[in-house]
Amino acid sequence: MLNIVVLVKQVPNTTQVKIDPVTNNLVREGVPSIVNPYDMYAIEEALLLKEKFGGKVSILSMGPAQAKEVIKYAMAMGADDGILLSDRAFAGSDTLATSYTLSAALSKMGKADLVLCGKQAADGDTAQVPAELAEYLGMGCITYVSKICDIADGKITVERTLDFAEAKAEVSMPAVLTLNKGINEPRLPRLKDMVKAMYMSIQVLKSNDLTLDEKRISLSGSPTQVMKVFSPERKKSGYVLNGSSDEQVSALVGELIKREII
Amino acid sequence: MSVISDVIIIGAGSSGSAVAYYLAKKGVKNIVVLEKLGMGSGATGHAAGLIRHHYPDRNLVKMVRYCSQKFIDFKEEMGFNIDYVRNDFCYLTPAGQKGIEDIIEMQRSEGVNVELLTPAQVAHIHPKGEINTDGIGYGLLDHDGGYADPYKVAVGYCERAKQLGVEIKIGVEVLDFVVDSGKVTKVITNKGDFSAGLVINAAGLGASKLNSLLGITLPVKNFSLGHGVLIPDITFEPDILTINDASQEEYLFFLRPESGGTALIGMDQDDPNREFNPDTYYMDVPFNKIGKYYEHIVKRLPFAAGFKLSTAFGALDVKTPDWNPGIGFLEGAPENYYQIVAGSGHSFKLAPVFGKVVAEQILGENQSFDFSVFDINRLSKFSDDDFGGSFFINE
Repeated sequence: MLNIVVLVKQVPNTTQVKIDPVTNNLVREGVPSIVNPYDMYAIEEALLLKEKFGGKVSILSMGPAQAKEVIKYAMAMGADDGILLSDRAFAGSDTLATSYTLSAALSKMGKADLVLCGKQAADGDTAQVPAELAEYLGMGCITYVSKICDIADGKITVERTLDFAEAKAEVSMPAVLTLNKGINEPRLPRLKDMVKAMYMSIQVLKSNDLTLDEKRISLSGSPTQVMKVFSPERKKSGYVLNGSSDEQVSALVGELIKREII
Repeated sequence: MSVISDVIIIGAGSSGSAVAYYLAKKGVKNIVVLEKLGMGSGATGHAAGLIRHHYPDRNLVKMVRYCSQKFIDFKEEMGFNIDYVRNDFCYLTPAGQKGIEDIIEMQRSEGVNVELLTPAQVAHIHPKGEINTDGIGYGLLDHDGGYADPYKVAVGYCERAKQLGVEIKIGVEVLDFVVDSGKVTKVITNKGDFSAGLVINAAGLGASKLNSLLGITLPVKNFSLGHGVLIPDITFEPDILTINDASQEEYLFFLRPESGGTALIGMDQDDPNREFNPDTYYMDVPFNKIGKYYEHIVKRLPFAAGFKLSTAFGALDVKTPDWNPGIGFLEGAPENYYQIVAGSGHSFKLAPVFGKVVAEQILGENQSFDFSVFDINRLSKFSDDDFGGSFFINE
């Protein structure tokens, strides 16, 4: 029996992300949110492990109330319960403050055998939270896992795939793992799963529900300061293909072959 | 840059494209279509593509009859494949709705091959499983139904129009109009100025915004539809019948087959009180708004409970108080400014008739169909308080 917690982050969808020119923060208002695509692999892997070993899959997220949507989606995929850390007191957290706050929630939730995460978030791209969280919880951490080989005798054996190397690693449980894209194929929820998830409740925790050192949360607990976030300059070098559809397609394919893209 | 032409059509959705084609076919030269994003990129590209004949108005039935034959012949006539599929179309009416028998009688007299089914017959009409008939009055089984790809219809018309000399300009956004002596003398865009003897607003979701540049306000509202692509856990042939459940006003939906063994569901507006701005509306559907819908769908069509939800996306549509689009020259508007408003998406199935009759109207020819039901000047008598009902029921 495995007690698995999956960390899920809601990230803005599409390329519609805007940056507040004054605060340099991402503007999330009005932008539809999706489950961080990398987290989908963590949810799926947790469900696969539960199917193999039995146990429970819990979703943990931190964010505004609308983050419930992504937890519900994970529930429709098959997660058993969900917790959302949502409080203005958490606003402005960097990765350190976030992982500290998440660690407080995990301590409150009780013993987890495994904490699974996506390898990074598609919006911030830092990949720092899982390792920081492991440190706070005193757990081992293996990043960039491309295969979970075995779980036996309180240990988990995995394969890691890095840019220029592959590695086999072992860690004692409880542990934090971050999973590579492609480790599995995340399942799609069925209509009846969506209906079931609609009726499941999400526990919302506020700062006073957790044992927290106030100096270590939110903006005041965040040593990282973002100096500037900006959209990359668009370099215009495109051209339009003309002619019939067939001519356009063959010109496009020819160009892709020439550039060794295909 | 300044371009002078005879006709400027703003918008390359199904309506604008069809009008461009029919005008060019009748010999009109120097037609320019200005399109902000891409052919069929607005409501047309997000429309469900349903082809059916269930209308309570005889004129509309005549028109959709004509159009469905045009869609059947599209490939041959236009040289463009629009992925037309013929299938049965079963429309479920609410229990207690009056006058259905008369409507069926009228439709039959117009040659529509339609059957009136009792709830007991409806229960067994779907080859993939039983239908729960709670709250259903009748099933109207249209044997001449079908579906096609609305995007491809727009592209098909555009491509043929191009062959006939029409210029389609993509990436051109209309920013303003210059009006002089009661005429639009200049169309100002991000790519220079255009002028023409006739300007046609076929901008779909953006039509109201263009009108506001001219001080024209009409009772039209944008509303949202939710669509989802489903991956059935059973074989789902492309010619399986479409179910259009209009029995419960708060949960109007359809389920139709889609290519590759998938299915498409569509749900009516997720929030009738919300105004949607096409420029800021994002194409997604929030979970909490559609969960209740899924529940209704699973209850109505238990065989679909195991269908997997692949993607959900929102679509915008435009409505008027009586659900019919507004077409023509509006009194008080510039005299060379023609409009096709609020036909977005749901009137894809009328695109061939729009093209044909609008061209006839503009050229002062006899009209093949009576367009009084679409007369844009009728909209002036409505106010915002007249919005109500739903497309499926009131149309």
